[in-house]
Amino acid sequence: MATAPVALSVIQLVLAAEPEVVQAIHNILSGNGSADDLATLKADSIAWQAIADHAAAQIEKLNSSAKNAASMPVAPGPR
Amino acid sequence: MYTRLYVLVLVFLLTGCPKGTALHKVTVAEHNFRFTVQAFQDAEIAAHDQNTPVVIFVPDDLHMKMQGTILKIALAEKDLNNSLATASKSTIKAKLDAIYSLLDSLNSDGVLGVKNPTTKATLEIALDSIKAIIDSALTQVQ
Repeated sequence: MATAPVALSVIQLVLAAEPEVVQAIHNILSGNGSADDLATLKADSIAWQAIADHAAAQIEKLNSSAKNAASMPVAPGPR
Repeated sequence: MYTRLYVLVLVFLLTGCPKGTALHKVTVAEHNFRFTVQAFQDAEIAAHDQNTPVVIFVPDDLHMKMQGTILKIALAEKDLNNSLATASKSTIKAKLDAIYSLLDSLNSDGVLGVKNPTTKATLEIALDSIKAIIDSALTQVQ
C-alpha cells in the first residue's frame, strides 16, 4: 500500500503538535515573555532548521548516488 | 483514501479560528505552518522512497526540486519566526509573500509533474493545506 507511511506520518505530526510554542510566542509579543518563552521560540527556529537540514540531506543523498553511478565501471559487452 | 481523510482532518485542526491580535494570528499560523510543511516533506520523501525500477511514484529530478524548495521555505520561515516579535506589518507581509511564491513554485516545478495519480493527489491536498494557512496569515497583515 503506497500511501500508508504518508498517513502515518501525518497522524504523528498531529499528535506531536506543541501549543506551548504558540503560547510562548504570544507571551513574548504581549510583553510578558519569560526566559522559558524565549527558549521555546528558539526551539521552534531550530525545528525549522531541522526541516531545512532534512531537505538538504535528501538532495545530497541523490547527488551522491548519481555520482557513484557515473563512476561505476561499465561491464564489458559480449565478444 | 485514508491518507486524504487524515490530511483533511489535519487541515481542520490547523486552520481553526485563531484569537487575539493580527500579529498573534500570524504567529499561530506560522507555527501551524511548520507542521503542514513537515507533513508535506514526509509525504514526498515517503513517496520517493517507494520508487522501484518499475513503478516511479516521484522521479528523482522532481524530488530534488521539491526538497530544494522546501529547504528555501524552511529558511524563509526561520527568518520570519525570528523577526515576528520586532518586525513591522509590512515586513511580515513581504516575507509571507515571498513564502507564497515559493509555494507556487513547489506546485508548478514539483507537484504538477508527478505522474502517479495517488501520490499527486496526496501532495496536492498537503500543499493546499499549507497555502490555506498562509492565506489566513496574509489576511491579517493586509
